[in-house]
Amino acid sequence: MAEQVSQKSRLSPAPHMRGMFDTGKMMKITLVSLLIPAVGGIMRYGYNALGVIAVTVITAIIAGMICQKLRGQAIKFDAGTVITGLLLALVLPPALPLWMAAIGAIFAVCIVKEAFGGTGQNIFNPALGAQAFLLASFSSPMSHWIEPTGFGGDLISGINPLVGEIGAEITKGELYQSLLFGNTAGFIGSGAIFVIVGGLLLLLIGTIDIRTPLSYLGAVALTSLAFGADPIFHLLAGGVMLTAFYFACDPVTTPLYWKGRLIFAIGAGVFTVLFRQLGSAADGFTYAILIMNAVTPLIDRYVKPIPMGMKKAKRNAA
Amino acid sequence: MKINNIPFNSIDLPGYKFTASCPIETIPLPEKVIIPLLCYGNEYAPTVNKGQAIVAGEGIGTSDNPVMPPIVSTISGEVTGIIKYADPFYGSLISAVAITSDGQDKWIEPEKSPRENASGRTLLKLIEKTGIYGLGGGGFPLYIKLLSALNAKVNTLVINGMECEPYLTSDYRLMIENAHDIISGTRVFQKILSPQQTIIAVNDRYPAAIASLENAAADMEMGGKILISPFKSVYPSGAEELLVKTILKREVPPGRLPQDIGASIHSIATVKSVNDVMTSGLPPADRTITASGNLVKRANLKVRIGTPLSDIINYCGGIRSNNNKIILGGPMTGRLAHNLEIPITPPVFAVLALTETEMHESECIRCGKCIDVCPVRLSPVDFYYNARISKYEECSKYGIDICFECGNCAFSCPSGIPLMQYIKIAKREIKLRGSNS
Repeated sequence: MAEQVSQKSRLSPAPHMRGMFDTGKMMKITLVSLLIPAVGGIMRYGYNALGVIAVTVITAIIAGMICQKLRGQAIKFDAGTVITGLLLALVLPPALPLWMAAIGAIFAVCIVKEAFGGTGQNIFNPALGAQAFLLASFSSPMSHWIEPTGFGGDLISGINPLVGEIGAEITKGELYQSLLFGNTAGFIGSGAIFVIVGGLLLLLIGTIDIRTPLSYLGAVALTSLAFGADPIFHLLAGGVMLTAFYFACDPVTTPLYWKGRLIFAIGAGVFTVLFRQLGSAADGFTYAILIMNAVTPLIDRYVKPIPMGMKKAKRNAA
Repeated sequence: MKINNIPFNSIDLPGYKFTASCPIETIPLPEKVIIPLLCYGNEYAPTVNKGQAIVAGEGIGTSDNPVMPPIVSTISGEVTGIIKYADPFYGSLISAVAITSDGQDKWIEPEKSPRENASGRTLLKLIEKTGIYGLGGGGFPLYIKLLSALNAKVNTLVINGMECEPYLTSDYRLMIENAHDIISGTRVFQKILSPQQTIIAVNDRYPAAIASLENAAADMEMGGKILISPFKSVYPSGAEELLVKTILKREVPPGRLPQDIGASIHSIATVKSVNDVMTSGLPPADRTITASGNLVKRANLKVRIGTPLSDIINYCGGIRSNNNKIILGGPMTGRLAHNLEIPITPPVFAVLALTETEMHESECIRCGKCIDVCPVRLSPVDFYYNARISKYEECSKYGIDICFECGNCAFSCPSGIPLMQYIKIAKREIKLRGSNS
């Protein structure tokens, strides 16, 4: 009988059951769901997209390992850096010179993530921090868009629907359709349908909470209505779907409390449309998320729930 | 049938009620028992000597604290000695009396059973004399609990039949097999406390238990006076402060007890024990436990208090597989048995053999899962951040005392952080520092 009882277990604390999710599993699920928009991007933009994705992912992995070495940690594969690299590629224009993509990946991993303390400690979303860095450094290549011509097609410069005027020959229905399937110039990850499928996968498995994407998308739609803009266009165009299912649901850089996460999502939605309508940048989601990342600790402070039976005054004293 | 909803954060756990259809079996009289000389933190001085002959129900220790109940032997035989051992519930090195059985199970003279129309005061006196303790997991002396409930003038009596942790079925079997005893036990509580309402809260996964109790109540013409009510089976809906919150729609303030907001709450096992004592006039000597998990034979067992764990595992035919941990209590709150010679004590309501799983702790990713599942609205992640750098006073400020250690946070943490461990360490440090200053 004694040999059937584990000798190792002498210190294991309650509870003696565990939930089904662990961090590694959650990262793998996120990674698999991200493959859908990545493959969608490669199908539409061909070798250009493939090159950018390969460079950012590989550079991110290597940069992560170098950081581990510099910090004296055991060097091991980290799925988190792959997610960072892939997310960065999805918000880059497909024709970006590859060395710029590599610089972006290094900045994302080494500066935005590891310099703040690594996994779980970064204040800003690494992929978006790097995208903002690239926008500031290389504004012209970062706003050079190409038409989706697949593999072997010619490089044709296109107009990102968020920047240019919609041609009179296109009906609204056709515009929505091309935005939904990504048949237009834009980010590698701009085809809304691919991101939605990936996001639905996360919702079904249960790694993200439906309240966050819903409140972000709702805020985007309502704010664009308030500006007299077309809400369906704003929902489908650019990085709104990526933000709804990925950037606004990143556990590390969003508030701890669900009320805070709603404030975060609504704030990000309002800023996204505000920047699109009033700002000069092509898309608004990058700075919207970065601003909300910066106020996350503040939000956490003000939505902290009062423990059971405690009075409000006591919380303020603490 | 209306199912009461739950006004707090909770998690859904699998039932694993494998033993729901197993009738309660009485295991053979143990050859020896070990009975701790400790009751709810109060140490007792032994009143027996090595070699002394003893019968079941005879007192074996006295406490300086006059309100503490007697501690009695649970078998007849000979005192083998006063030993020291480490108990997962009672402490790291506690005194206990070891008694070897003579196999005859002789008992002391029973107290006179109370008459049918006995007053609450008479019944309370008998509870004091026989030293009944709570069997829900606290092991608190019932007499003291009832006395303070009387002082607090409670108006609601709650009998807790939630059994919301996985695997456990002993209360369920008691409700099925001993429904009449539970109703008449509840009558005893009603006579003592004279509450305005009496509710037996039953897990909504237990429709058979609800039917059984309702039949018994109708039989004994108690239908209108005891409300048998199903409550949603989530974890931890059976925790007393939360069950009281669900019923009264009021919250227990920090550091207070359910009786302070008008409710006295007792477990099914305690009610059954009270009824047994009222009919036999003898002190309680056994309890019902669930033996489940990887044990060869899963069962509901009636065991004498003090029975060594090895007796129970042997009775169940040993363990099915290798690499197990033995848990005393439920899988969410139970404690690990560090060896198989430790005895069953009143707080032990289950013996589970569970497969040991490796734990990998990784960095906190600030996902907030621990907060989303905390039934008392705490932020376990704050305790983790502060306890890790020994800032225990911060933990107090964040309300660590309110935590009743249900384990939801550690269960849900995707990074595998042993949050329960951090919370327990912080509480212990706060207590130690408090007593030093």
